[in-house]
Amino acid sequence: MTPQRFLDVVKRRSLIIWSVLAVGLALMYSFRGIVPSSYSGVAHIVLVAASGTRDPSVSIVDLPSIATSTVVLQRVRNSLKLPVSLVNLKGNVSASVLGRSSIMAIGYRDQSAERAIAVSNSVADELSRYYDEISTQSYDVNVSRLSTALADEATKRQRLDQEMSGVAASNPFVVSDKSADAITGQIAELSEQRAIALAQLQGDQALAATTSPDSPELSKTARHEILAGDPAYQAARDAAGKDAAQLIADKASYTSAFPGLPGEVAKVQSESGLINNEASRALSDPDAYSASAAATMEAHVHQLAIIAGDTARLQQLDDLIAKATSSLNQVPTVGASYAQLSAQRAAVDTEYTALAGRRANALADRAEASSLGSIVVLDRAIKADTQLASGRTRVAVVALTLIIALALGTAFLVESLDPRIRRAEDIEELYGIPVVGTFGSKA
Amino acid sequence: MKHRISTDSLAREFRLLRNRIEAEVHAPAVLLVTSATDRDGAGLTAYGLAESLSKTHQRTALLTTSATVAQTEWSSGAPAPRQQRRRASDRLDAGNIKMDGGGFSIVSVSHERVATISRANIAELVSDLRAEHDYVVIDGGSLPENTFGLLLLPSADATLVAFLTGRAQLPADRTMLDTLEKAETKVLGVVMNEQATIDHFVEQIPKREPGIEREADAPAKVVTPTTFARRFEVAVPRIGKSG
Repeated sequence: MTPQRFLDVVKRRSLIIWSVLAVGLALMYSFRGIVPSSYSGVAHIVLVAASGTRDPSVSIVDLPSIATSTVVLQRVRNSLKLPVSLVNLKGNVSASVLGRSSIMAIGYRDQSAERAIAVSNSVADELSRYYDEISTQSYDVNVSRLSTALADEATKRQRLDQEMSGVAASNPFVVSDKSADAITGQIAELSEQRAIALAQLQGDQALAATTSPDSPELSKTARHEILAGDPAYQAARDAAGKDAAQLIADKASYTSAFPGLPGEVAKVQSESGLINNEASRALSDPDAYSASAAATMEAHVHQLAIIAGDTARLQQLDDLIAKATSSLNQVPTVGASYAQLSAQRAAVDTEYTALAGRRANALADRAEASSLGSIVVLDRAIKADTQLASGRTRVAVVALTLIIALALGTAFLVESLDPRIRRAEDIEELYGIPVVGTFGSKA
Repeated sequence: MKHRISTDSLAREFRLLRNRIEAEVHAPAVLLVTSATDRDGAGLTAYGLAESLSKTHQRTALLTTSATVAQTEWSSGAPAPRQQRRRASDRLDAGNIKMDGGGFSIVSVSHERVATISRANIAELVSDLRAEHDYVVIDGGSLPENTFGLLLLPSADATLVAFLTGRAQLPADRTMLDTLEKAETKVLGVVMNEQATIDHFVEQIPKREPGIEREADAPAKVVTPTTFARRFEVAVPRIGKSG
């Protein structure tokens, strides 16, 4: 369609166009109140790149695309827990480089002033972090791989240590290069200790024999001490002694014809039997106590304990000697196994050291890369920067555009549905002959 | 809907049309202007073309049919060749009017009488006009709706089709095309009438007071028959009455 044709249609259908415009503007005015106000927060960032160095990161022209990327916006959405969809978030975020500078403005439009500020600042922060990630991403991969390899080597080394500890625990002498000599020396030392322990045992056993509670001397002493301590026995004994002395005195003074003698003899005999009975009772009394017997018993028990300790010590030494002897016998096989594990661990140590060195270099490279360029938040959005955005104006402009488009569309629709012929092309198509002239055109 | 049309613009448009026709059809020639309907402006086209041709000092005649014009005569231009008019008049029935104007002759044939005119007489009239003029422009009117154009179609050297823009396609369009195709006439093309009316031509003519006799030497101002009749019906004396 030529401009002239367009203007012709517009002029011809001007009534329709003005009518649609009038109705549309009236509706727009009527519904102006339903458009909410919105706020815009703006933060500024600056791209700082070290001069004269290679910059592995993106340039300033790429930053608007990165700032409005789904990666950055999703992080913002998660960090702020925004109740808006990613599409809406993306639609309201704007990022533009200011002229030819390295400064970029990041804006966000929202019905909440606080959220407009928070989102614009968060986008700036996330952009800065994401830029650092991009700058060091290749190094991060390298460092990550080296860290994984290091962890594997550490695990391997730990496993070898455990195996070597197990072997060393079973045969501690294999750790030494001169394990046979060490074992032999230990066996000799143990044997010497055993001999001493055996002598000690024998001495203690002999001492214990002297303190045996079964000796006749101790029995006599104990009987004497028990009976001496029993009052009934002593009273019977004193009474029997007096009567026996009286009998002896009477026999010396009188003849056998003395009539009192048989009575005295019978009394003495009776008291003798009483004394024996009292002695038996006192000795069998459970509360009978002999200090000498008790001391001897205590000493004997103590000596038996010493003997038991000596025996145990001797047994322990025997076990150690047997173990050392066994270790000495195992030196050829276990020692070889330990030596093999030791060699493997040395290899792992070497590998671990090499990987650690490479990882340190990678970390240094990454640090260097991150220092080559970075994004700094130059100006954070604050409340004072929040301005009443032209939300209504934008809606009004859009609505007006739509109304104009609708008016023109209606005009051209009516034009297309109008069967009347006005153009030379249509006439030529109708008649199949050319138009050679026109008259009566408007002034 | 009427709109303002500049007189100069109208004259320029017909001048362009004239130049194109002169380039394609050399004098002497008979040009037939026809249309699918009576409202397409064949008469206006014929008149405008004749007037424009006459301005190049070429002898031009306009042959037209109009019931109203047939009843009037008005000549304000150069005197028409009376002999020619008389001869044509003799060959047609009395009441057919021959008019002069604007340096070109207007020969009007009563519409009602067309049916009574023989094809031979029509051919002779055209032959006479061709002999006296460089260009004979025939207002053939609507080809499907009247017979005048159909009668003159064989005599025309070339045909122009007038079309009134802003109207819908009609069955008459197809009929006209079929007629032209059967006649095997040379069709120069279509002339678009951008809704010009005869009023645009009338504005050029000084209004006359009623009862004034015609002045043979008055300035050459001519209007096409229809408007002529509408505007000067009273002012222009009837040829029958004026004798």
